[in-house]
Amino acid sequence: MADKLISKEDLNTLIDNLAKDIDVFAPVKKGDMYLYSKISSSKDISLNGKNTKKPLKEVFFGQSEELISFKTAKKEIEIIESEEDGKKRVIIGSRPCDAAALPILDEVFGWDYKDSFYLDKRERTTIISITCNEVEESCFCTSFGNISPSSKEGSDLLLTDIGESFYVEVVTDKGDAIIEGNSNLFKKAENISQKDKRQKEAVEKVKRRVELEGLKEKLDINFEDPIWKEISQKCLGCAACTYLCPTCHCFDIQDEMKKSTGKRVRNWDSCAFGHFTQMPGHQPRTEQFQRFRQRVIHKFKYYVDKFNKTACVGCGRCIENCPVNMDITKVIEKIVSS
Amino acid sequence: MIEDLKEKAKELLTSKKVDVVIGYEAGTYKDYASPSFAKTAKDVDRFVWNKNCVNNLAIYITKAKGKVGIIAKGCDVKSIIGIIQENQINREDVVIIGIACDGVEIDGEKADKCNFCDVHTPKIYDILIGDKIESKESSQDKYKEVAEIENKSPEERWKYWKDTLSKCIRCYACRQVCPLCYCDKCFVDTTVPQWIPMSVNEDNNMMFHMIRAYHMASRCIGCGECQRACPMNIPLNILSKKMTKEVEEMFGYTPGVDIEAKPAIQDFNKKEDPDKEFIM
Amino acid sequence: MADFEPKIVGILCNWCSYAGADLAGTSRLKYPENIRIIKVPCSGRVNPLFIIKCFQQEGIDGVLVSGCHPGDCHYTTGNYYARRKFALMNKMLDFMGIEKGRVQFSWVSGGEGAKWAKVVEKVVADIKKLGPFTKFK
Ligand code: SF4
Ligand code: SF4
Ligand code: SF4
Ligand code: SF4
Ligand code: SF4
Ligand code: FES
Repeated sequence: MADKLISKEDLNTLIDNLAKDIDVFAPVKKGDMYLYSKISSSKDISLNGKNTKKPLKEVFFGQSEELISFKTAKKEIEIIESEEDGKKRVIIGSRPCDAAALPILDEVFGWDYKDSFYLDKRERTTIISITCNEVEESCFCTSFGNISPSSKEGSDLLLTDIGESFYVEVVTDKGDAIIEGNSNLFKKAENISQKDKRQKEAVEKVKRRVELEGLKEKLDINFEDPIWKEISQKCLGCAACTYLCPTCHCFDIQDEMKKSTGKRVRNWDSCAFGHFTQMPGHQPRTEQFQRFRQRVIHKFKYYVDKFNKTACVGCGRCIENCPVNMDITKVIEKIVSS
Repeated sequence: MIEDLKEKAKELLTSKKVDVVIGYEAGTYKDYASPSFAKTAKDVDRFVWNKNCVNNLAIYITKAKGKVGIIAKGCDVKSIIGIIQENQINREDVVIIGIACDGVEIDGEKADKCNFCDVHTPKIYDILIGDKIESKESSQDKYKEVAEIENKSPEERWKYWKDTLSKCIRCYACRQVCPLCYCDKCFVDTTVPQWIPMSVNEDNNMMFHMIRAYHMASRCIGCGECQRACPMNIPLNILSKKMTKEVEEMFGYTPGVDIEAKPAIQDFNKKEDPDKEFIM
Repeated sequence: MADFEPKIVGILCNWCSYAGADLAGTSRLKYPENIRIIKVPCSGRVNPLFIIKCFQQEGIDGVLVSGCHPGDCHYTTGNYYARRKFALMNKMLDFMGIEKGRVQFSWVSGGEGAKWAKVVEKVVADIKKLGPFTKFK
């Protein structure tokens, strides 16, 4: 699995070729934001734009996903399983942080219950990420040891823009298969120093940093600490931070009925909402600080306890999209120094 | 100004006139300012006042416990008036530290609402910070975008809203940030009956937004927070402005002006309310 | 669309319009059968969500809301409040692009069986012209 080179023109050819047979998703400029969308031509893709507004998770775990549908006739109910189309898929131009969020989701969706909807899509998809050309003010991926603007975690191929061409690092067999299938478009790797330089530059562009040392130990014991009330005070309980987070994975399954037809839909849900843990007659999290605490502790303790990694990749979306400037890096700082 | 503001805030806290003063502190991202809660005079040292103080802090007064001091621009005071009109707080329980404000910015650009501001000096306040600023009649048409949509055909309008609102991810930031959205249980959260199904699709989004805008009629004071909060950049202002315009035209009522007035939707006019033109 | 028979939900206040519809029935007045009636205590009870909810249902093409004439509300002022709500609802629906005529309002008293029949005729004719409602489906 040797590194390769692909010219920018040939990358476009590759995208156009792929789009003929399989589903290709890439960041596309829509109005004033970038979103992962299915593309039919390389012309639609934006590899240099801002980070996508919605994270990569939506390509595997859509906001509203139909699980089954059903019809009723007299006393009979007919259940119709949702069929996946089984098509192979490729993502081109995902940011390394978004890609790094996928192994985090894999754990959740593949742990005791194997979530076929998610896993099937994962299985069919090859991830071609790109070293970030621009980083956002809110990015802090480098605070996590294994993640950076050029990290390979979660990707199958990693592209780095070295001017006329992209340097292609092969991470997995899945990635290699793309090269094998289109070998005429790839050249032997050269200019590795230019690639290293670009990657180093990208890493240096990330200015925001948070020290995670000591955080887990604090979270192990500070559930009742009054600090939660203090730091969460301004949180309004919307779902901007969790819906747009690449690792948040909570959902609610509901049946939606019309007269004689219905569907069972899985929808994103968020621990920030007041009714999130509502059970018949009981609501264990009655106040916003408890909900906010859940978000932080889930990402930096519960998930760590279970899967031995944090459920945050430092993409900064929660910082950028919070209407009251709740900054997870500052929250962590406050907890660590409390 | 900031020194005066801090001094007044500290005075309120040390004399125990209030339990908390809600103000702004420097934010941590871009040029943002962030809501700040001062319970002691020392906390007040964090306070700032500048062009980035765009958040409407009135959202916090219905959540706070005890007596509250609040830093409020003219537009924010309008929403406090609304909250008092609707009996969500008592006037005595809030000390309004009004600020003479000549405009705030969002991402370095003058906020839309400031182009039409008629309250550079707040309508009511207990303490005023800064010298009174007179409000001039705006030369711009506040309802320009509304008229653009009104001029479309019904099919075009439907398409416009369907496309625009299909971006909505129903994160409800617009609702959570709105000072006049204070219902304990919002209509989108009820399950028996479930008015709007949870799935996010064009139809459900449309229904959510129609009713949200409708619920804001005669209450929305145009602070623009919903639109600012929306991560998907949906022009919610247009919907709110449309309702405000209709309420003005049909019922002669403007929200956020008169603390004694009854909001239009809680009131009626036997003789003058529209009737003939649309009721058979 | 000659043979299109719309389904219309009528949301009627108990004291006037429902009694009016009843009178139309007992007087054996003929009017289109396209309407399904839901009785509410007063037009003031009509939540705009009721109207939205109707349109979510399979096959509903229109809604008619009807109450007592102004001044005649059994609860004195219910329909005055309702009138403001309807006026706003009307503007809102129009602004969103829902065709005029899908949702209609009327005042029909307990003695106006004949008016009720006329109102229903008009609403049905209007909605037949508009065709089936396919938005929100
Ligand atoms: S986006 Fe901000 S206000 Fe909304 S829930 Fe998250 S932290 Fe709270
Ligand atoms: S918690 Fe915030 S920074 Fe971390 S992955 Fe989620 S959105 Fe990104
Ligand atoms: S509990 Fe909250 S923080 Fe954890 S995954 Fe769910 S939404 Fe995200
Ligand atoms: S803030 Fe925007 S995306 Fe969120 S619910 Fe409101 S309109 Fe939709
Ligand atoms: S609806 Fe929007 S503009 Fe109106 S008061 Fe609420 S947040 Fe402000
Ligand atoms: S009782 Fe008929 S409208 Fe109030």
